[in-house]
Amino acid sequence: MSTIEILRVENLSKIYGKGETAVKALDDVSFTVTKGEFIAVVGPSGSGKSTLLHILGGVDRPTSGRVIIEGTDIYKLDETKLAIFRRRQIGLIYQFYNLIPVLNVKENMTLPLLLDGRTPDEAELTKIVNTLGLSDRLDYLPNQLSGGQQQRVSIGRALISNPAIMLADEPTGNLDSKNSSEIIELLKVFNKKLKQTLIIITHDERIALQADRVMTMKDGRIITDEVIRS
Amino acid sequence: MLRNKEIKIYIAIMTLVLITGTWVSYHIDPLAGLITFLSLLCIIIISLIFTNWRYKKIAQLSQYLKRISAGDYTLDVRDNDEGELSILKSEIYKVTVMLSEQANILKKDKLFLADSISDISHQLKTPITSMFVMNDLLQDENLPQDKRIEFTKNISSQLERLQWLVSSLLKLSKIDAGTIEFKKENVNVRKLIDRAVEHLLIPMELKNQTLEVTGNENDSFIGDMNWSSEAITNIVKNCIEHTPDGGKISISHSETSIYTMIEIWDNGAGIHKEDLPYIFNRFYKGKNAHNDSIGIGLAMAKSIIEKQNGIIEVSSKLGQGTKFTIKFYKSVV
Repeated sequence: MSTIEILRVENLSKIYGKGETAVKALDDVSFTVTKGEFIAVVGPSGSGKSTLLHILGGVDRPTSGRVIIEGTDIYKLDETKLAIFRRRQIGLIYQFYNLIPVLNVKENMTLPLLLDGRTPDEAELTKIVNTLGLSDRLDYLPNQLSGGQQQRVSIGRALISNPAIMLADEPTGNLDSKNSSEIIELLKVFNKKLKQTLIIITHDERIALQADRVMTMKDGRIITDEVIRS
Repeated sequence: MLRNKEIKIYIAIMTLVLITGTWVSYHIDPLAGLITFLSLLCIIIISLIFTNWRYKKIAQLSQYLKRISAGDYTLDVRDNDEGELSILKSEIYKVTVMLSEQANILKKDKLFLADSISDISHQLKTPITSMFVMNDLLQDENLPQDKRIEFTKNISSQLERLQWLVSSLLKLSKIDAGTIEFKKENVNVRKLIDRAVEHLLIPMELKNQTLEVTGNENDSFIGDMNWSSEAITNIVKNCIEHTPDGGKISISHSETSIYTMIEIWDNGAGIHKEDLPYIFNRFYKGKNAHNDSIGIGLAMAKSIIEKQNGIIEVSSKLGQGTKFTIKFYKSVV
């Protein structure tokens, strides 16, 4: 495994609310991730998994602590720069896909590039589309696709800008078991073949066991962090 | 900046526009001529200042690239702004990360090579030493005939081992170096398995083990029949070795739109948890390894599978058995 550090999390805390009603969603979390790792974060609901992922993805600010992605302390950036950083370096996959309903598959997938004012590289796009099995669906709108297909589009969208890190929040939470295993397989293909660093949140132990490293969270803390294969 | 050809043309055209504009408006009114001249001049100067700034940024980037080519990967040029220059910086940074990763891998490969060579020489030394001893003994003229036969037999088995070792190492190095052309033909999984286990049926019978193959007979993938069968043989061989007499080896296969999967499992000794991450490493011998095991078979299987756009994984429970999962992916990313 490579030794390049892609992500470093230092003493991350997130407190919602104030005073009596304050809730500690994240409590002094620290870890590092090297390039090409596939990490699963598991834990009961309310354990802080999603908060962690949102903070890693630059969508929610921590109360204290630092998130350093490829050497950039992302919460030192102002909002605009952070948005641009996210677009170029972070790929996010959500449980409910979050596709734009009025854009077709191709437009949804290339959105991060279009926002950057770039033209997608056709050859690269074709490769990704073929791997995702979406080559005959490029002109479809999201509501014309099955859940599994929509999630595949969102994987494509997360991948198109060749991000430093891909984050997935319960990517299979809304899918049946056949589609779930397909989605996980695809994520694995990109992880193994493109050395795409990947962090995935899941409830499903079978999915977690596919990862190289499993972190368990409880009450806002990481209680175990185990490398299960290398 | 001025040495750039397009800048010269740019300035020439702007000067031309300046002169014509001033001349035309001067003929309308001399004051208008002056105003036109001054405002056009301002625009030209401003545009030259900005062009100059852009060129400086480009020069900075080439300076940056120069430092990268000198091996300094720690710099970060990204500024996370909108616009082409910032995108360029961000893309350059991504290439930098990739290059530095490759440099790391290369360094590791070198270390690995050094380790491998010492492992290989160690592996070769053992049979050679034992043959030296036998040879010395054979030189004794008073050696009884039956001992002589025993020693020569021993020597030939050592020679076989050497031959096998050398040819496997050669194969492995060829696979790793990418000098072997893997065919891209349609491989029927059932046929592949039949072929892979062909020579293993006798050793299995000797150990009174049973083999069960399940799966759709039409399952297939795109790959190389010969090499894939070698990989499967190595894995099944490993299962046979680590499963006691009377045990069972099972193979099942299936095909989805993303991959073709072959699962091979036994109900044998299993692999220690500490060994599990390393069993595909060359020359790695786990706690349960046989004495004459070298640690090449699984490494070779892994190389072969990965060269064909596949992955292999292993899971194991001590005392319950080991399961190898192979997946050949349909499309190449």
